[in-house]
Amino acid sequence: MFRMIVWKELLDATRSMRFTIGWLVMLVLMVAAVVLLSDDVRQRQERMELIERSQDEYVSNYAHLNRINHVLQPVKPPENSEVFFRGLGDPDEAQSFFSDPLEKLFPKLDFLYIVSMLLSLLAIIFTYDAICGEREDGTLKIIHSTPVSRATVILGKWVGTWIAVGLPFIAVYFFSVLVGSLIAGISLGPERWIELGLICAASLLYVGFFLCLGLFVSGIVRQPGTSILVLLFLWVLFTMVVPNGSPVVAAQIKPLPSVNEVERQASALTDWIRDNLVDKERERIKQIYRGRYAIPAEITDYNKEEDFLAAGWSAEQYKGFYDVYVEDVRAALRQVNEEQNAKAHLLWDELDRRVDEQSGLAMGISLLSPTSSYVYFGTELASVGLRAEDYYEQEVSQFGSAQSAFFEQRWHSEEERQGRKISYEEFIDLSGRPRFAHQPEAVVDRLAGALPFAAHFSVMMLVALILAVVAYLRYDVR
Amino acid sequence: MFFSLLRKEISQQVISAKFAVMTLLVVILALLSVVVMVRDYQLRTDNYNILAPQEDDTVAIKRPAPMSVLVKGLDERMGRSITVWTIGVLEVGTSQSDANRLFALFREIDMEFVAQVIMSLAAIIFSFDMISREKRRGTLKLMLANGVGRAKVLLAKLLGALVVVAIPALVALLIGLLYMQFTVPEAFSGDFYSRMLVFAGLILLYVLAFISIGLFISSLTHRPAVSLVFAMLVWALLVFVVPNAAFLVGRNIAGGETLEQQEVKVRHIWTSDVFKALNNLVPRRDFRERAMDTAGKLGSEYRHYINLAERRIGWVRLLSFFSPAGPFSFASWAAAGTGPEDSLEFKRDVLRYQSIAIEDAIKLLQIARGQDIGEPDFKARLFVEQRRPLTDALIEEVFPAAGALLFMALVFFIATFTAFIRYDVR
Repeated sequence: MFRMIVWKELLDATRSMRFTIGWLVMLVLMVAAVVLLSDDVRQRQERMELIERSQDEYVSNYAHLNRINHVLQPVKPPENSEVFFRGLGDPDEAQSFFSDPLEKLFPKLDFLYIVSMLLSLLAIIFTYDAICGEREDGTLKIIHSTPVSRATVILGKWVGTWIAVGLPFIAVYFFSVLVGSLIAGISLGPERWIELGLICAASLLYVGFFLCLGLFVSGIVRQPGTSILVLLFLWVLFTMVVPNGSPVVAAQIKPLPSVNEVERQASALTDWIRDNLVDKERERIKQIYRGRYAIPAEITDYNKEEDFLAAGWSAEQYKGFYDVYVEDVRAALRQVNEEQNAKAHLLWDELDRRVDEQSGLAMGISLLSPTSSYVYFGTELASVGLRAEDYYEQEVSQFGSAQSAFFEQRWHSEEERQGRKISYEEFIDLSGRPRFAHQPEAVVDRLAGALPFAAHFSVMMLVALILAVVAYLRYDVR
Repeated sequence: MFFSLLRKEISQQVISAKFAVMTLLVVILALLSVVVMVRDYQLRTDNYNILAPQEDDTVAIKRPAPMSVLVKGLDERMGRSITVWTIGVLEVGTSQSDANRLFALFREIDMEFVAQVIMSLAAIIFSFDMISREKRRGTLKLMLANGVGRAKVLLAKLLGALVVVAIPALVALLIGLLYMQFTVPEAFSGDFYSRMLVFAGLILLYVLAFISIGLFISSLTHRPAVSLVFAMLVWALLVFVVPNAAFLVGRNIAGGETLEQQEVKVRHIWTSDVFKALNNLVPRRDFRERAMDTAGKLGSEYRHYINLAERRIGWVRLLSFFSPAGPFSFASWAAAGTGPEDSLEFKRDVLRYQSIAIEDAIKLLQIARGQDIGEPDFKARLFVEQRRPLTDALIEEVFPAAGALLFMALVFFIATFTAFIRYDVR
């Protein structure tokens, strides 16, 4: 009997006008979205190559140690998954003069957006009159004139509609994936396929929530007209009000200290305060060496060899003194830098702690809606979310250390080779420098981070299903 | 006759469950939005006061716009300080929302959002079955049997729906303004009231366009159930898909360098200039000349970006006009002074300020190096914020957008009339 009901629901759904229109729209949408996004990814990859070449050209002409870290900052390449999923975007985008004024104003039309906003609406359109509509048609009481339990009917409706929504979705989804990977010219490895498959499954669960919600509301009101209104109200709340409102509300309950103030203080510590300390240390060391080497009072700049030679020193004497002096100064500089950086770090750590509190609260509030957890799940798994940002920061920091180590090494070997001290402002040959290669985190780790969210919207779906069943048990079918 | 038709339309809608639910939704959301946005405005103003440039700062910053409570747009972006370095590099500061990355995932709910999404939904919900519902009730043939012209019937429905959808929203807006009066009275000025009126007018036109579309859908079918699906999908496409697709397509067509490319180029320009100077690869000049030279090169990069951004905005705006949401958004941003064009205008101002600021920055450096340059006059060179006047915004963006919305309403009304002439009312 259950199978018959499922089959009947399936046929009902597929033969209806809304099924045809709905799926036509979905197909066009998903393919169009993927075409646009994949073209964007392809273009960005091309630009990356241009950037690499211009960096190489710079390094072969103007490389000098003073500002080299600033120039050779890694540029984040587009992830493969950005053909289908967009998430947080570039974290430095807002802070660039070159930021696109339109970027912030338009959310990206990616799979997550289409599913979370439009597929949920389609689900509601499919089920808003599943029960009350059939009651109006008179077929509901006919079904119950046969010895079939209420649970069977409602579960049959649920499964039937889910299949009617799910199968076309899977087809459209994977078709769009193929189109996207062709246009962007990317090959999807096994990890990406796992990720795509899991997000497809998550989307089905997410849509399942709205199907059950539709069944629930349809099973507590008498008129389809009322049902659609209530459902639209709930849809707006779940998909827009809760997710969009949560960061703002959290920012007002747990406001942060002025970020600019913290920046100002931290900059001061590592900038002019550090410079003052460095000057003091340099003076102190100079005095020590003045005493130790009996340097005449007229000589104030220890870097000018000619002054020392004019005072009667020999070149070897100067070199002997200067090498030791410079090492001492550099050691002192390093220490001052470390101390000041540590102090600045404390300030930043405190801010980070407050940020975590606010983010935690925002996320907590947003979990009133399955849309939020679905978006978090999708962005985390597809390496376009918060986790991926932290992971990239770690990658950059590790690369930064490796790059700095290479520079130090090259600097010392050049100094040895040339037999003299090379200053920060001189050209230095940095060929063979390490290249930044971005590797997305292993899918298992990403999944571990994303799984709690999947549990959340799955539970919400189950709750909605239970509500739908319970509501139907009491429904007057006449 | 017409006015009794109109009265009938309005009273019929007002007693329906639809009206109650939609009004509740609009009013609650509008009020919530204003409360939250006012607090956000206060926090941003506090932050602005912390950042406001002191006597010798070479910093450009824009005060939060009062209209940003209703139409936030890019106001937060424009509230970032832009520091002009000695050598002409422009450094953009951080904002409070940078810290919490969740802000990047979801859009904020301002009145513009409530109007764009919820009021258009209300408009569609009220109008998608206006004709088919009346036919089912049997009153349509009764009306027409009384010698009432079809055009009059449609016009009464159109205006009736407009009143029913717009009035609760405008009431909510008024209550919101009252709340603002108590919490941020300093926001009110003649300019603010004018911009408010323009925004309210745009909401009316936007709702009118959607009612027209809904009415057209209603004239195509005889069963509300069918037109509902159609109406919902059309609404979703027009409100969510068209503007976002316009953004992706428009940006694609406009092309141009990416942000990273431009950032890298700027770094290359100034670091290589400093390198060349320190290693005597260029003829010896004084610091001021060198700084102005580098600043000139950087300036042309920054100006190139502005042209690029203009091109992008132009294309996206054009493509977004395929939906009423496009002109509504662009015109609202322009009326509030928080839109992409305003952001570019601010950046142009910063570039004009750049050359003045470098002079000041050089003086500061000279003072720090112990050089005697007499009494420097810094105060006269503080960044003066200029806002695009409302009249400019009206001419450049609001009137064309309003025209587009009216045009859409008219086109669909004519289409409705054409369909309705052949409509079987029995």
